[in-house]
Amino acid sequence: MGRRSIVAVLLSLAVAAGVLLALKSASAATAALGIRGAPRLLFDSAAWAVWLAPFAALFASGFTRRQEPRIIDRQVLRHDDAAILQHWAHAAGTLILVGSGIALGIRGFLPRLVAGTYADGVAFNIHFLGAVLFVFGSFYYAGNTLMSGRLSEHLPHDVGSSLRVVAAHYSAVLGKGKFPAEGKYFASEHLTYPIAAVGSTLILLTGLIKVAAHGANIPGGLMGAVTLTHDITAVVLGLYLVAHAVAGALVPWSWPLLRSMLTGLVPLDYVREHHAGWYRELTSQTRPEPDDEAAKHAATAS
Amino acid sequence: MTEETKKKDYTRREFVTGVGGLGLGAVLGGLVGSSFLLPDKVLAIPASQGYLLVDTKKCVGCDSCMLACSLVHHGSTSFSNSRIQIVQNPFVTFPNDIEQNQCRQCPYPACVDACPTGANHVDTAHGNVRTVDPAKCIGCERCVNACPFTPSRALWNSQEKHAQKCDLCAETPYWNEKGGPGGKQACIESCPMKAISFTKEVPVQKDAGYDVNLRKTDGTAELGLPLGDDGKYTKSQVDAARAAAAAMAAASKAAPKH
Amino acid sequence: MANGYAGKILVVDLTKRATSTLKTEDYKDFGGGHGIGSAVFFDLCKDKTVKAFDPANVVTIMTGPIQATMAPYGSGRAEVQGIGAQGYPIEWFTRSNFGGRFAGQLKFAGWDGIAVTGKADKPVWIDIRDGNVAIRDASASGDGLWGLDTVEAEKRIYELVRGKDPVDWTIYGGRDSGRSALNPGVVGCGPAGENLGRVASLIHEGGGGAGQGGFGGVFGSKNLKAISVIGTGGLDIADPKAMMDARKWAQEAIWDIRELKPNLPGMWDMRPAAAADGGAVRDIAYRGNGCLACTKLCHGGRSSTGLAPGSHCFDTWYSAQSAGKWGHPEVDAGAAADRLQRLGINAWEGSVALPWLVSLYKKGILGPGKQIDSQLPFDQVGTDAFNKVYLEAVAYRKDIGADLAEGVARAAEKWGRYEEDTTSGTLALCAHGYAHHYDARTESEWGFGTALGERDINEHDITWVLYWYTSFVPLMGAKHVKTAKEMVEMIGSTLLPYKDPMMLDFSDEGIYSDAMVKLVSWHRAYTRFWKQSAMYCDWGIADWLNPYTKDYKGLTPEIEPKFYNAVTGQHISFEDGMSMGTKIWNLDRAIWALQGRTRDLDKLDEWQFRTGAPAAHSTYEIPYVMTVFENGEWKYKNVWGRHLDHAKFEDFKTRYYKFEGWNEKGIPTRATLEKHGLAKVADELAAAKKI
Repeated sequence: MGRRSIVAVLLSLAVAAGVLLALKSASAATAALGIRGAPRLLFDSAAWAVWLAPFAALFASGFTRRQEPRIIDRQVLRHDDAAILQHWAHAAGTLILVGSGIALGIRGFLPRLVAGTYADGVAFNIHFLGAVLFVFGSFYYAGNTLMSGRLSEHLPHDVGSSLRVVAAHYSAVLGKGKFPAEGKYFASEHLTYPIAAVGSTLILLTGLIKVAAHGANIPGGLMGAVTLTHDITAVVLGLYLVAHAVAGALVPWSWPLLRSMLTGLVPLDYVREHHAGWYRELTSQTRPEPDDEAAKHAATAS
Repeated sequence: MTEETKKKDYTRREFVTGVGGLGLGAVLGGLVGSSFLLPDKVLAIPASQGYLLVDTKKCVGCDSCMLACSLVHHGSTSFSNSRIQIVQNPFVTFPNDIEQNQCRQCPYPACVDACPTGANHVDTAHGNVRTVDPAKCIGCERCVNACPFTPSRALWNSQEKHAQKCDLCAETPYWNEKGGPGGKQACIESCPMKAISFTKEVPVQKDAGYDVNLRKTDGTAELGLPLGDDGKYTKSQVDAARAAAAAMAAASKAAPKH
Repeated sequence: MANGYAGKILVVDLTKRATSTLKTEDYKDFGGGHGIGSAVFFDLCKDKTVKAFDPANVVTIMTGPIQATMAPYGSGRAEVQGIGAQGYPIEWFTRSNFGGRFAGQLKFAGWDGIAVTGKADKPVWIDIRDGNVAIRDASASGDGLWGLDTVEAEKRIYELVRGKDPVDWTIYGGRDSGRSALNPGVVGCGPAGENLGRVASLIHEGGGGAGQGGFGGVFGSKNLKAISVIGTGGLDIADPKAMMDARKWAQEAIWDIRELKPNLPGMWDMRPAAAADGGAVRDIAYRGNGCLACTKLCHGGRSSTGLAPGSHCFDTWYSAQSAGKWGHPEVDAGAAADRLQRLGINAWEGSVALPWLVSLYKKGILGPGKQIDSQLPFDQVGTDAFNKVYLEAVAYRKDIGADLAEGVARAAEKWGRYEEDTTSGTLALCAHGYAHHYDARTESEWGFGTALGERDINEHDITWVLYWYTSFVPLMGAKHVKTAKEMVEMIGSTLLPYKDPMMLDFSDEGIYSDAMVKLVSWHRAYTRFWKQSAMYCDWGIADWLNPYTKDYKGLTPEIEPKFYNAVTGQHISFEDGMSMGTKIWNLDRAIWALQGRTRDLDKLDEWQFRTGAPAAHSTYEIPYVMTVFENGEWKYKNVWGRHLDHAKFEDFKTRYYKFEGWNEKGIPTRATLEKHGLAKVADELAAAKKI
């Protein structure tokens, strides 16, 4: 499993390097057209890649078999290969998009950091790279989630009780009382999932319209609304990302989960401590599914 | 998993995979197809149906054009929002003390090409002027930076936070006159010297094609201003002025003092 | 505040090196320009009796609503006020103004005006970039501006603000913030001001200047070299469409270069002014130059020699004397004007001083080893060499320049010559230490207005039509386009609210008549509001005789409220403006009263009561034809040669005070001040025991 993750990351890097190379070679071509040293925008010249990404992702998801969580040698298989791929494609895409988005600024709100056609051309092209990854990751996730029927795992169920659990959880963090018995996903994750889902959908939709505008004449009024929506959503998702990164990677008690995003496995003790509800669920089931070779492989690989 | 859910799952899976596969095929096919069918795709940009010409030797630097430009487009006067920039330095000798920097409505507009969103575009509804749709502008300023002239003729509106450029007054909500290539331009209308003029012909694509002599057919000579293309007096102007001065001197010598 | 106002007034205290702001809204009842300037001065200068060079003096540079708009005259003008150094014997609170582009930059930077008070401990300049105001070091160890002439200092400021060779937009602030491709608007003093000359001017763009009042010296006394402003913002106009329509309307009544008509005789050419040294005869090419958004273009041109850019009319009067008075036609008028402007010397003062000095030199009173000891080469007067040493002597206070820098009135007093020479008229001062300009003996609104005020009024309107035009028609053998009766009826109908043609009777009796009381009062109000507060340029209005309109009817009184209302969205009438003018005139008069104004100081220098001779230095050597009502009919008559009568002038003053609602000492009464909403001014007068 770890090896595969590494391969996935390396593949992403290879894609990035390839695009950067393409961008570099393109700058010579446009200089001849009179634009001062500006690289050709990949949003213009390679928009097809953005359109290809969702279909490629759906196609790939069609060949993906998801695995159910289970206990393997005092560890729990939390993230299967598909989860790891979709998470990191999505994460890499988001980070690249947010970074290049900040560099490009938000009209009338966040001043640009890049100036000059070369610098902002590079920023646009990096944004493009992020877009391809993000679209792929998003659609791959959507395809997988749609087919596996796992959407309900994420959605908030009972907002009131979730809120109480969140309150108890953070009281425990502050040293007051005991951690509540949380499930596979924390109550806070259930509550915030809609923000991520709706935000991602909006940013995808508006982003795709913006890409479409490179080939088609879309009315100014609509584009104004699209851009505004894109910008606001980007700010919301940016803040969400910060919260997600803090809760999921920065605080020490999340590190086992972060590790599992690379290896797929979390220690059983950790699950018992932090996800008591899920632990009960896992231990009450009897399952090795002997036919699942991939799970075995994952277990031995880690 | 029951048989039923499995079946349902397969149906869903087949659908998703099918959509993905078909889409992949369509996009890739389209890509390959278009590269074969349109091997020499040229961006045909229609020429603007109007151009501003200036005469930098005639301009008196009153900046009326700048204030008018900003006023008819934005309802407020401003130097920085003017799409024509009269840059002057009173301490440089004539005729180099004034530049009239107007947009050239380039046949191949770098600003339009540089725009990532189509905001800076060729407006086919208004005589193909190269202009910015502020609603589509994301404020990246690529057009501002892409303009090959200095100061850049595509400019940044720092109040409304978008790029803008000369549209030959096609969109002038604060003016009762009809603008655009088929109408009037506020800079020309407000210029007391008529040191800006309009033409439908594509000018020669050099500085001299846009900075022309507009002094030959109007009252410039009568005002005693130089008529030469280089901004100097013509020989006949100098000769005539000297003859007149000599005649006046002779007359005042002859006349009795009061 | 919008609608033509930037909304804020910048206050800079140089002693504390601190800035603060006033809300323009709080001064809106004064319209703009001079009115706001007087009101701000009244509030900020607590002790009105301080001297001009006292740090407590407050200098204001103010704009009005039409500045930085498409109003055809005055868009580029800025009004300068404060206690002036030039007034004599008292340094009166006074005014001057200048054109160009400064006013536009100031308003686009978000400021309606600036008030400077205090004194910096070492030379500074004020660097305004939109809302950011910095007080910078102008000394040799800092930006090196102190000691530079006005042109070099302004060029250096361009570099300091925009860099050495700016070609593209200069961004002021962060990435998406305002930018400008233009040079900043700069106004500052030259060496004459640094050396506390009372005859030092403020210069903008090499030739635009505020000369009278000695504000260059006031800048110098504050250790303030210059103010620079760059504005990247905009100014909201209440009714842009009405403004563009008004502009079109006005432009049709102003010369059209595509269809020039001959000018009327003597009327100041509504055409681009020549450069000081240019023209086809000398084969020095030039362009005309206009102040911001102006259509009149009388700002001096710029030539291929680069000398004296923007200098015109009385900027070049001094240099014109080289050829006209001293017999040196070979001297380049542009070069002499250039020296004067670079040194920052009040051009008008220079032209009254020199003929007087030459007369003293010829009488053997002035010269090497003489009663007035001077090594200046008066034997070479008029030459370029003389101009150089003479003007530098005044600027740097060398030789008799040390006395002349104090102004001719104070120099004459020091040399014991004031009484004799202003009685004979060899020293042709009109009043308050200011040089004679248009003739008080013939043209009463000018002379009496000056006597009742604090400086040579320098308000041309009657002058254009009822002196220049009427006098040049016979000189050029032309025919009048209007009979005298038609003329006074046409102009009289615009003298709102009076509409009385008798106000234009300049006969020997007419100049002291009650109708003339009304004209002087009308003229004080008209100029105080429409010219100096709404700030239409003196050379643009009143428009009374126009060759481009039907029956020669000018644009006054339509043009004044038309642009003002388009900009402000108000609906004031011409008469409303006149009321505001009266109010502002009363405020100024009250400030003078606080400074020590009494009836006996409302005076004209004695020679104007003694001599009818024409040849004071600046009396135009042509007849002075004006409109007179004699024997029951209107006619054009040369009134040249008469002199004034003390008793009749005193009687005129008595009736004028009464007409304005002033007491017998010439001080506005409480009732008058309260009628104009100036109760707090009345309180201050009462506290000072003036009323």
